[in-house]
Amino acid sequence: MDDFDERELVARCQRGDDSAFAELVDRYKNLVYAMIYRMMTDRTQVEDLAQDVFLKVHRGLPYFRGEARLSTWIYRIVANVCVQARSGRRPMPSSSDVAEPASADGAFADLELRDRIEKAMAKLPDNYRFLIAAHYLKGVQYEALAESLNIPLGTVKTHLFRAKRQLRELMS
Amino acid sequence: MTCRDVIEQVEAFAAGDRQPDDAARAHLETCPVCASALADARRIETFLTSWAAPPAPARFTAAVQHRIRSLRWQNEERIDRVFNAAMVVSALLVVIGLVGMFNVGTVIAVAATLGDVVALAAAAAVQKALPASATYVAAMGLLASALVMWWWTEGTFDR
Repeated sequence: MDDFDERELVARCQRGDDSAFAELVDRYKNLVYAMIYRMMTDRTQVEDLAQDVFLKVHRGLPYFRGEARLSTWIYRIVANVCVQARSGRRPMPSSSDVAEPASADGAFADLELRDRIEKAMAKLPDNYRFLIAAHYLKGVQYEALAESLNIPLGTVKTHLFRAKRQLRELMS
Repeated sequence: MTCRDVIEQVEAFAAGDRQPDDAARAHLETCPVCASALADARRIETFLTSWAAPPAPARFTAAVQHRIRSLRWQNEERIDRVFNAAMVVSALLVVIGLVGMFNVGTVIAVAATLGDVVALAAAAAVQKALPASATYVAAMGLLASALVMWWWTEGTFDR
């Protein structure tokens, strides 16, 4: 979505146009859902948390002045919602305990790797986990990640490499 | 090139952001620890690149809208409850006012009785406190002198 479309959409939402808000949800729902899916170990919470994100967006839209991009603001809300959910959590079942169809080849090694990576992800600091979860999603730009994490644009890659190094060390 | 130099870069090598130079390549061929770290980094990179996350459920937008509507409804209900309570209180005040207007004599009598009750209670309280008044005055005097002394010493030492 270009800047003009985004501003127009936000303005319509701020005027109380419910169909505009539905359009906003439609545009961002898969991205938000995927980010939360990757950040949370407990997959049963994903949908509720994704809905919480959009409720916060709806509540905050009247005060959104467009100083940051809409996507940046939404990513920040995603990060905060996940951090809050994790800080108040009980020990969650690991992803391998949650019934889920196996990947197409069904290779045990892949499942085992996924399980190890997801368990290691759960031990990463919040900002690193968010960075890894968001970076590998289509359509997420470095600029938005830098803004949402409050880090200089030039250091996103460095932070990403550090996050992956820590992930590798946690796995070994 | 040391293990530390190579380990620092394996994530960049695995992501294809940097190509190992000759020295790094030579080190990776002879050092099993660094070679293993690079292999792990590549596996992680491959996994992350193809890490599938399911799309949001089809009814997701409708569910969000439903939650917004029910929150809005709860808010409106709360406002309604406050409004209704305010209306009941206002109606009661109006009724009391009307009753008062038509029974001015009774209102004056009730006010006078209330005044008498308050005056009697005040007089009783004064009478009860009177015998101990000398003690209260002495205590206040002591407190005042202590404060004056404190103020004087503070002023003296500050200078």
